Amino acid sequence: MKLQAFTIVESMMAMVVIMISFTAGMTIYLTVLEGDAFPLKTKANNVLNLAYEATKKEQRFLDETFNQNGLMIEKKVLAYKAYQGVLEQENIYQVSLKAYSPDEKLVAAQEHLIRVVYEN
Amino acid sequence: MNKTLPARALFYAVIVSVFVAMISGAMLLSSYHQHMLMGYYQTQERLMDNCQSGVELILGAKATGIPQVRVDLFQQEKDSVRLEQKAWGLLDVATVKSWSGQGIYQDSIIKTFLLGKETPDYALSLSEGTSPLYVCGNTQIVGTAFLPTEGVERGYFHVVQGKPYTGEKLIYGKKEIVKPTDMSIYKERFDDLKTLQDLNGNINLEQDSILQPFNQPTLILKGERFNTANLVLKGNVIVVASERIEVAANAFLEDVLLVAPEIIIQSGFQGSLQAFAWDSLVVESGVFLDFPSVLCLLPYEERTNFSPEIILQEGVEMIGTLMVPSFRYNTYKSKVTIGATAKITGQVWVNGVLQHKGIVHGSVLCTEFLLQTPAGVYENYLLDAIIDRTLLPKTYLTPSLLGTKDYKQVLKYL
Repeated sequence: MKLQAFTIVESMMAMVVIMISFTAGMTIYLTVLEGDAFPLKTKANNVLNLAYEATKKEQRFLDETFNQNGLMIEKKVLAYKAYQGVLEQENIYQVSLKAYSPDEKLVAAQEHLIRVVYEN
Repeated sequence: MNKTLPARALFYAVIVSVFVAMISGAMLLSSYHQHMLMGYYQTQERLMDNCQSGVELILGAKATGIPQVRVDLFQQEKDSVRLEQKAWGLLDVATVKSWSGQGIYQDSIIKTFLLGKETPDYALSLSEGTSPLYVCGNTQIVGTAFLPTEGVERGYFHVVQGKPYTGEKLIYGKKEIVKPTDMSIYKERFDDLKTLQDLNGNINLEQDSILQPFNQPTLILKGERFNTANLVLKGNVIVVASERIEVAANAFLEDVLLVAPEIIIQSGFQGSLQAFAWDSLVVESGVFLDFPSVLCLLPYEERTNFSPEIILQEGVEMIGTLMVPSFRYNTYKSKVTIGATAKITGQVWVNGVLQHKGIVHGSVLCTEFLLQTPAGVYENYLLDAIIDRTLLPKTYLTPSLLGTKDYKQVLKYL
């Protein structure tokens, strides 16, 4: 049995087709990956979680802005007085946390309510 | 001349291209799924944060009950929670639900928990009477004691039993004059508890296990006599009997309410429950009642011709609250007996007579002590009894009704 060889032209054409399809596939995939904000958003959310835990642990209920892991974190603490009636209470605060990327785009935001207990 | 370029290799090129396209497609699909998953996790995280904010709102609220209410947490119309707090026996149960989306696309998180408060920091509070408190034998009272004006003395009980007081101090802590207890704050809760006996059953016992979460409707088992042998009852379940409930040793009970004139918890039982009786509540030796258990005698409206009674036999161990209130004078006072070697970690609150021969790590409030021996009955005597407030764990929480401080805490997640 004899196998027929391809000509140079045939081989070149086949390689060009393969290269085009491979390049197109990779370009689409990389474009999707680059446009995906989730890795940054996940990182920002993790940083905000850490900032909130630190706020609770250190009882640091004040407005501040700081940089952490390459993100700018903005923290605002407001007295929470939105609810009256059966939910009326004192000493509850709304902690708003926002993470901005280096190009000052809002990446993630969190809102928490926290009750501060003052021991006599 | 018909000159054509052979395209045999192109066939293989197309096959390779198809493979490349499939691999690229698979990578894109994987990326899409990861995207979806991350979105789901972030939604869940937001729901958990909102749920926790709801928990904070409930813990800070001063109201004793919160009817089901929907709250837009941050006035942005995208963080809603549903809150509810209601009585569960002597305790309070709260539910917080946060959700996003609608219909089959709805994601939700529900937290259900029991509420409690810090326990009062006294060891003993004994009401004013006509005689001082007499301590005998190896009695130990450690912590602040609120005593009647007559104070505390060494008992002369040893004349009869040969057991003089052995301690160096009569009270190992501060002594103060007792103040009257305001009973009005308990009245409303006990009026509600009395209505439990009129509940109609809404389930027939067809299987051996009933597990009902607290965000679902309460299941009520009703009968004349009820025996829990071989049963598993957990959560939002009330057992109401018009005559008697027997809690068998092989039953598994957790967080359920038992309501009957007469309740017997049989030797060997282990679990957590809230038992409300009218006439008698007997806890047999060797029973272990886990936190947060409640043993309670519901008061009669009218005068009785007998003394309702709670008996904790020898060797019983309980972590929780024993409460016997009384809202009117009755010649036959309610009586509680804590047997020798029986141990209660928590709070004993008796508007009546307490015969205490065991161990209480926590606090005791009572109208008077009683010591019954073969030789006679002695009023306001303690013999070999231990009341030690310092051995109550600092993290221990008591039902909100009996607790101190304004703020509530999570007693147990359900």
